[in-house]
Amino acid sequence: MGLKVLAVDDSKTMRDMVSFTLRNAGHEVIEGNDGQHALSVLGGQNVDLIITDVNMPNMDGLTLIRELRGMPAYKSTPILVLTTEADGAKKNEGRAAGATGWIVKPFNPDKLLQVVAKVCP
Amino acid sequence: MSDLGDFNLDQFKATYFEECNELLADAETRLMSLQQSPESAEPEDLHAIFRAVHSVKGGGGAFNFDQLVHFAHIYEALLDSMREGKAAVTEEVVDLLLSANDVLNNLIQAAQDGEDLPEEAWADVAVELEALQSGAAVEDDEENDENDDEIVDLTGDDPADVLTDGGNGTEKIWKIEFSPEPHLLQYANEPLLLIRELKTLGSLNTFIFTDKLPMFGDLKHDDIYFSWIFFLRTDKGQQAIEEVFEFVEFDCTLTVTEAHEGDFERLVEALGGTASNAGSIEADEGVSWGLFVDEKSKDEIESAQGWGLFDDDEDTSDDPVKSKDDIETEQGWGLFDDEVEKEVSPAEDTTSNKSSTKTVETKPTVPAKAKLTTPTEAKKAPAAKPASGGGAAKISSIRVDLDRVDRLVNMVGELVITQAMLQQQSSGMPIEYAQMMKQGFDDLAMHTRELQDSVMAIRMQPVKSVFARMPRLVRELSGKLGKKVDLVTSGENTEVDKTVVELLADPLTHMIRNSLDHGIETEDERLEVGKTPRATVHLSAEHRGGRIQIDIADDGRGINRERVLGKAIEKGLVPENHQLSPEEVDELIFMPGFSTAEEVTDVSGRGVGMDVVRRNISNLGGRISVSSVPGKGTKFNMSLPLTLAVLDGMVTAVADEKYVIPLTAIVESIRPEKEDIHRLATGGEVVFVRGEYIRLIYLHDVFGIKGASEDPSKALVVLVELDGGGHAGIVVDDLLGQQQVVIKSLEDNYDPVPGVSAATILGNGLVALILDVDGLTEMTHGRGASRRNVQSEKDLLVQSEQKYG
Repeated sequence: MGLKVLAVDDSKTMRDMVSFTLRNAGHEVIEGNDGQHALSVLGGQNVDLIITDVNMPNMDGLTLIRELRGMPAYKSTPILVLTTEADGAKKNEGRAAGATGWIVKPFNPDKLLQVVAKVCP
Repeated sequence: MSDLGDFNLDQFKATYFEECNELLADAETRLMSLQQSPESAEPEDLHAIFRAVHSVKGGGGAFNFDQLVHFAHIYEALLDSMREGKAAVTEEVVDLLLSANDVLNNLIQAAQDGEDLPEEAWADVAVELEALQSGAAVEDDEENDENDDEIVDLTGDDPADVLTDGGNGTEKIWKIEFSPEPHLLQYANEPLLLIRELKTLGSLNTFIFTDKLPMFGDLKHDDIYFSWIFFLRTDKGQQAIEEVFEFVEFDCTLTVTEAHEGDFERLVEALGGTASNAGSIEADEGVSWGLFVDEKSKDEIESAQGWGLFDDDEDTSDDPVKSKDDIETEQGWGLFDDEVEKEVSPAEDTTSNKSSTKTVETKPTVPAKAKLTTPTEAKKAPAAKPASGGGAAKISSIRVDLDRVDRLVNMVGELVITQAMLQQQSSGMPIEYAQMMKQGFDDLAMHTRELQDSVMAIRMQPVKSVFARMPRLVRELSGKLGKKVDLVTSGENTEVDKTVVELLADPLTHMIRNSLDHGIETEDERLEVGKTPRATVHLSAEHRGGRIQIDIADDGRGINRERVLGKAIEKGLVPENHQLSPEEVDELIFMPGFSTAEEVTDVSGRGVGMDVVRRNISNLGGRISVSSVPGKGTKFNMSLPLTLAVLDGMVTAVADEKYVIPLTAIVESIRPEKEDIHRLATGGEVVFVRGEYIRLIYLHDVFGIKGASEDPSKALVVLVELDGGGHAGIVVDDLLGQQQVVIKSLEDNYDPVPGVSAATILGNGLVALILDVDGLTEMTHGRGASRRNVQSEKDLLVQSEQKYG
């Protein structure tokens, strides 16, 4: 029942951690270095879940979400925002861009999997 | 971490630290450029610096580097204010940021070493950062407070755990009114999932309101028409319930109020609907639910059930129920709304949610027609335009372990040797085969060479990483010395082997220190002699003659030759009353133990002089020279090989032995006339070439080889240039040809040998030694002979000429 997940973060450390956690739980992960790169590795293929960082060069996470929501394939794909900012304004930005939910960095692996389970039936 | 047994954070640390170093180096470069012109700060620079610090913080949090995170947070907050224009970018602020960058660097280093830094190592800078930040955002007081709370959050164990720990034993009944906005599904949130999650908290009674369900033809497939009232009996608190709805907070109206026994039944009665399992709130498993249907929509019950919401729900009612403990860990991700985190009464909560709902609500903009597209069609559509919207962003670089590259370099080196060997062996073949093979060997040779170049290119790095550290050095030193100095760099993208790049830092640092300390005058001195008050140091790199040339030029006072000479005489390095050319005087600064500074300052280092710089560069196969114009400035030139893995050499023969002389050292090869060779009084011989007497080095003497020709006029003399600019003549029997050889370190494979820098394997499989010409000269003429004794050699020569005349 593994999910196909796109993980986007400009920090390799974070990408590694997200990917490792998800792969260990039996999910398939593809990775993007930033918003622009994510769109190109995605290339229109279907994914079950997208997890993205906010602060990234080239294209930030919020722009990425807006781009994705504008594409029919990802209109209803759950998107989680990885953020270190726990304050309301930042979260609201994520939600306004069309994110499904958010996870605060640093996350513990169990927490990440729980949230994944929460948004992916 | 039950199912993640081997989730070991340590495995990510190496990546993290490497990343930190890159990020901070980049941040520093940008800070330096900000400092040049703070008033015209590039927004992208501020953003990038912010991102760097932010990433450092994010990773640090994962590894529980509390100090690091705490500091990064303060640093980042100021950067954030700056990029939002709330805090001014001034030179002083950038100075502070640079210090902050340093502190962060130290904290990272400490974290890497598994230590904590004493508080005084970072607290001062932190206080300054905070002062600026609070000054920048006085009106944002509340936000700041919140940030402070967050720090506690990140550094300590989640304090919220305590708050959400539902296991307080007191069971309560909660009434949850949940009316999602029609567009809830559009953010991929599913009421079904929410209900399932709610069920894990306790026993649930459910009402569904279907009165808003339109006629089938008017149904929009991605709109929601239902609303619910749940009665939940649970020992978890209100917060746990609100957490379930955290992602949909802005897309629904949610009221959570405490209810009483019997409220469910009373509601069933009041609404006049049908309630199944009414009154069985006690039941732990299984969902009790009520359906409220008004007269008009009675017919629509079926269609409501046709959505399969409840069917699904019941199917999964035996889903593994989450343990109560799980709930606690759910802090750290949650509500899209900070208001809920504060203690507000349910009623206030609702109103605030309502108002926020209005402000952030986005109306579905897709026309109704489009909405009728079936989900499958909708999913097919995008496949037609893969990535066209995303642009063709490619990964422009990958990170490879240096060991792997080195292995590759090594293998290619072996390949080159094998190729040379094959070619050599084929030369003994009968002519008819040789002809056939020749084309093949030529191609092979060409391809191996290309392969080798490509592999070497992998190791090449721009000198930027080293150059980037220098502005900082100049800034700090000039501050310390009270001089005003601009550093201008060029050619930062010139590439050179990674090892060379790394080894460049020390000599460069040393020379720049030297320039600033000794070369450049104070502001007043400069004004006095009519110079601009600000001095300039040019640091440049370029490829020339298959080597990298690095120049450090200042517009200072130039080398004080009188003082240098005086010092040299005083130290007994040069005999008194000897005339040296100005260039020769300049060269004296490279002599061991030479230091013109009256007292050792903490700027130019202690006792370590330019001689060490020269030796280090020489060890890299490089050369350094200086030229100076009094009153105008001094220029150092470093010339280094592009790689330390291969070397272009001249293979020479001495009897049966082969020696490789680095091509870069060779000036020319001559066969001297007998009358040009002179014996010195002190022993040893010189050869007279175009007005210059050059020491001869007999390799067979040095290495004890029998059967070599001992008469230079019958052998060959290879003239080589020495570090200090002097020359030496190496006597060999024959030149076998120019060849690129793979350097095999003697230190690694054997022991260091004087006069020999390394070894290599020739095409015939034999080992040949690569000569260290400066080492050889020192061996044969005594330490420091290469340059120091030039003058005395001339004297000796004069004496010997008088003698032998």
